[in-house]
Amino acid sequence: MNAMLSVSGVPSVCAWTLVCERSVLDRADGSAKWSQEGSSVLAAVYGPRQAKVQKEDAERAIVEVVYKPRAGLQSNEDRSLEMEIRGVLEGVIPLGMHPRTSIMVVLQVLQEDGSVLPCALNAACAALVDAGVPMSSMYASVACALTADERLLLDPDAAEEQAAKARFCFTFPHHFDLVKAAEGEAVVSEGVLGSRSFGSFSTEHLLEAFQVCRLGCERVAQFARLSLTKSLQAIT
Amino acid sequence: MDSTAAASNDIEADAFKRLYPEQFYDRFLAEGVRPDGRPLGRARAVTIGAGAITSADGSALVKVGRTTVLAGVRLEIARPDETAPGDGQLLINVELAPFSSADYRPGRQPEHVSAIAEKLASALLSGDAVQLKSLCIAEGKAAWRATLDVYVLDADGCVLDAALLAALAALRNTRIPAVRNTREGHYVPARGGGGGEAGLVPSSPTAVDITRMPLGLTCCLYREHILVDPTADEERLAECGVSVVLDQHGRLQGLYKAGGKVLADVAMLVKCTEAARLRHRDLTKLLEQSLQAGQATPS
Repeated sequence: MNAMLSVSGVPSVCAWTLVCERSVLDRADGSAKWSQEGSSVLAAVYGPRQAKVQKEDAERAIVEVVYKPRAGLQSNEDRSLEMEIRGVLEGVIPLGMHPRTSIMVVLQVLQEDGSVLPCALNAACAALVDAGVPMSSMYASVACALTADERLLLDPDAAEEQAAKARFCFTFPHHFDLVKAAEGEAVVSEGVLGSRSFGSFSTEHLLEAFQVCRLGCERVAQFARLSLTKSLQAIT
Repeated sequence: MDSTAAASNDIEADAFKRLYPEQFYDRFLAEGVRPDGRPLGRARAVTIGAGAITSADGSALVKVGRTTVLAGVRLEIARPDETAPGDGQLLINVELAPFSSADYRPGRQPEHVSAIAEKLASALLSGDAVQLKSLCIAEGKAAWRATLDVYVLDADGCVLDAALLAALAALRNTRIPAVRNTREGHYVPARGGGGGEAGLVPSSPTAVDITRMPLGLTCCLYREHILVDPTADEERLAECGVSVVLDQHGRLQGLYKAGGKVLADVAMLVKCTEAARLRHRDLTKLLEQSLQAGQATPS
């Protein structure tokens, strides 16, 4: 069931299943499996570790992203997603802290039913947290689609993406305000970290989708925080 | 004496730029200019050479500042895909020449080239910009298959914008030859005349029908500045670009921001789309001029 959104951008139905499992792989430094609705991505993080001589940077760490589609070989689109994910990670990891190293993030799509990019981004974030890689902030990502009759659908499935006039994916960083932390609230930034929006849409649609995704990210951020505190409580 | 002093100054400036790129750029940006003399909001000069390759069915050489992109269209007749019997095909292929940038490594094409190919396909094919129906000769039997090859000869920033402009100019420049139906029932192109009017297919297409003209503009976000149409040096420094693709009616076709250090708020995104809108107007004017000039001088 998707959250239908009216023009004002307030979710009317919100039965959104998000599942996050951490430390699912033994050999990786950190791993996470993130499922949202019909899509599911497994992320593994290796590093910071010695970078290959060709790639190493004397002043900072490099981020390598490997994105494996559910089936078949990598297409142009998959490599483009790799670049997009790498950009987002480079934005939140303080690279100067680990010069001459490499942080590798491997993403394997397990189930594919729309909104795979936000799913992969959220999985990567959870895996980085699991690996204990320092980050300046966590982030949340949400997709939405503009239907033929110009409504916005949050977290579309594959059929809705196919029929959509335009598709948006926004990634926002979020942090925990100590004042609001008691209520379990996460503060989502006003500025967007990554955007991948294409199709045919007006500036108004873009701004509307921006706000809708920001609201969606608030929910994802709350969930990420909740799942993190729960798993930490379980350890201690 | 003076010349050696000037030369050593040049060397010092160059060394300073390489060692402390941020300080180097900060000194310029504080004055509201960039090292190449442009104000922050000005895009580079563009030249479009439509019909640069005579052996191709359509071609264009585009220069945006020093960024150079060559695009060519090759046409052949093929049987249309069974799922879309009334459509022609457009295949898009982007390649980065080894001499185009210092970052080039032999082997697999770098991922930003895949990203450009994917964005070109998204702009030209998914938003029905190119009408594939216009490439049909006989439904279910024959249609044109257009191969669009884009070669990046010099990658000095904003390669996506230049590639999109070159691709569009090459497609607009494409002249589709007449088609002859042979006695055996095959469809062959009637290139170079000969054979008179006999067997010519009357309603075969003559030009690629493009209803929407997607063109793009990339802006770099560096600290609180927006650098329009950055060079490769500026892109490397800022590590944060926003690419906007839109059509002639100002309707957006794509807005891409691949992470980076700077967060873009609503105001920044609106500024970038407005800049892209202005740029689209200028580029369209140049494109029309160039296409007319290309027609006036028969090749």
